[in-house]
Amino acid sequence: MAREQDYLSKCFSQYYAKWQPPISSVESREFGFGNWQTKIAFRHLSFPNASALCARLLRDAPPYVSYSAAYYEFPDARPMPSKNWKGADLIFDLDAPMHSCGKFTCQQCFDAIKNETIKLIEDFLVPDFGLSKKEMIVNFSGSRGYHVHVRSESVRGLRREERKEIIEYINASSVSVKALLHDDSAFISHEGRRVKVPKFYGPLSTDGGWRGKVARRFVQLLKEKRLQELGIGRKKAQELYERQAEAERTLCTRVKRMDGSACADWTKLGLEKGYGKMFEALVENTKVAISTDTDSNVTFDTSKLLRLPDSIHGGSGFAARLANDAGHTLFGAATPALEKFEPHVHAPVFSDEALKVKIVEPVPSLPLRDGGMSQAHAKEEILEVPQYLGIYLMCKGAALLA
Amino acid sequence: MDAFYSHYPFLDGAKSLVGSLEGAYTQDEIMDKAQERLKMAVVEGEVRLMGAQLARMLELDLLSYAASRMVVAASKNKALCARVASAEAKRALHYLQHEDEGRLLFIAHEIGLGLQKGENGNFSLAFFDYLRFKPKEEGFKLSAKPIAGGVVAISRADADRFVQEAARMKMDVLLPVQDVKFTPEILAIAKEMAGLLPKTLMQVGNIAQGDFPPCICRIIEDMRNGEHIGHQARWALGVYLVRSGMKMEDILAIYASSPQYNEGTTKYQLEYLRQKEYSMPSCATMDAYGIAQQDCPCLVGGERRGTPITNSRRRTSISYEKSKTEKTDGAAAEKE
Ligand SMILES: [Zn+2]
Repeated sequence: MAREQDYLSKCFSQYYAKWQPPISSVESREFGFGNWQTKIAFRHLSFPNASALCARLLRDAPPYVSYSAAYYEFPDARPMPSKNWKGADLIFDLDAPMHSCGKFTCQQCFDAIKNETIKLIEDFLVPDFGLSKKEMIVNFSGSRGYHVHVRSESVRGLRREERKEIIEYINASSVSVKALLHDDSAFISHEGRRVKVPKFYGPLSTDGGWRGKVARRFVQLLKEKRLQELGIGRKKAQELYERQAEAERTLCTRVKRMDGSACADWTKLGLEKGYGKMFEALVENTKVAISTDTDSNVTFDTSKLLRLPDSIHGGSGFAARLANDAGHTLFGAATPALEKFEPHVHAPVFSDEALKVKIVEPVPSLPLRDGGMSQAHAKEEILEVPQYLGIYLMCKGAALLA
Repeated sequence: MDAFYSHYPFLDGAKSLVGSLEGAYTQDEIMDKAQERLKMAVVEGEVRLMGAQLARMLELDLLSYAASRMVVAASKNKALCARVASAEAKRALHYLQHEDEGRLLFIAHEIGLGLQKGENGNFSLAFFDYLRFKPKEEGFKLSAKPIAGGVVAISRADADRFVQEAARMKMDVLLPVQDVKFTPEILAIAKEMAGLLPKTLMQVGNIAQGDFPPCICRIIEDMRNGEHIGHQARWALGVYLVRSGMKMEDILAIYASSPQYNEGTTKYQLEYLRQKEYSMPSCATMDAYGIAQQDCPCLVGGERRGTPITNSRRRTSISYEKSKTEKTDGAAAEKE
């Protein structure tokens, strides 16, 4: 692989020759570089300014470049405590879950994780926490996900516990169905028999926080005719679609529970039973699947380093491109809005010139930059591909220079 | 003097008032009061409210608070500072509950809490203020709260709690006093108060040092004598101290007795252990490492039971037990 690595380094170096880092306060950040064996081989690096960083990237062209969300007084000091932490951006790291596509991430995985990222921003960060999109940047990770960086003053001083609580709110790990749905069903006597009268009080769509969130999600799924995602049977769902306006009204009409609290009377939806299960599905459907895994969490472990936006990811040759429309450009090309961002289209940054490569392991048909699809290759063969695709395949270890 | 600043002596406005009262009372009067006040805080965890509202008493009360802050600063003892801050904030809550809205908002803003008046007698807090000053109780979890547009709506009772918490955090700061010369009297009171701290708070977080099991005592002793501590013993000690709920500086104080002590490295390693949330190795594993001791209560019928943590003599309601059930298998211990 030595010849390929030399070739890739040369390409990466050319990329960095006319590049600018899209982050602020370079002098207060810690940087880490990877080599072809590990993603972070050297850390505790610091640069007095952006041009010093660029010069170093041009010279070394490391396959991976990471930086700290944290701001330090002495970013290159070690051990960690002597860096003197000054605060940190608030980071969310969304990664597509494992899928049969393996290392050649498929369109379906890219679409799913992009939608999760949009949900994080549109359903949580903006409406709940009151953050503005101007305060955040979003970038493709270069691999299978997206990073959201909130850079406003208001988040800098947040401590570990507070960052963790934010995650637990977003991924619903601190949400209990019991607090959302109240089963006030009771037995009454009817013609000499005891009869159960179901009564389920739940959140109003006008409520704040998680209560309103699940109620509004229900309304959204109702409007989009997706109630089967909540385990509601076809017949019942159809019935609800037919009286959609009425169901919507039910969820924003205040009724009082015995304890005086204002709720919506969910019994009126007529789901008979299974409200508990339906609410569990509703919470699952509303949350953003973001991990609280202690080992790798960049949200609350601010000493972790993460991919530098717009840098090259050596595992794909893709740029970890910014993906929001704040007027940012990369070499004159405007950054597409997150909704329009397609990793296979926007993340390859190398040329269309023909490159001769030797395929050394099976490669599926892949989306091309121009919108078409590449040929699948089941066996070893030598062929010409656009340079950007060749680089992608070499970074994946699926091709060699021919 | 109005009772206001005697009720909330942690407000900045109280400081100038204290200055204006200088010379009106003897040092003995003030120090007696301060000592009484601190004792209540340290021993009972609460500072009693004043009965009468005579001007003289209000003034002395305020001065005693200021003097007690001096004592706490002189002690340089974080546990004492935290204990006093919590007791003083509890006292303030009693008064806060009877304040009208205007005064509550004034106090909140004075201590950096962006409390706002909301609808129907309710209040609201900016989202990030809510996070920063959130009381520990389960009921304050974000997921249970009506958050919208960067604002969290809270009840009056919650608003009072938040002001209490912000006041506690304001007071729970040890002032840097390198250049200050304290009188012998203040230093003596500081020492006495630190000595009055409930056992579990003194020098250690939750498990008092005298209650360490023999294996842990042995490692510490060896370390103090400058003997070489094996890799596994060093690691086990770190996990034990971190998991026992002790504060970092108290743990560092133990390591500091070693001739090879390096604060930076030790801190770094301990932080690492804390973040990785390692389980305490079982006593059986400790035995396999060759660091278990013969006179340990873990020995039951020739077998070693439990972990050094479960075998510590005194155990209080320790947070590590609530947060995570202690695993006793050796497998987790080998994660290193
Ligand atoms: Zn896939």
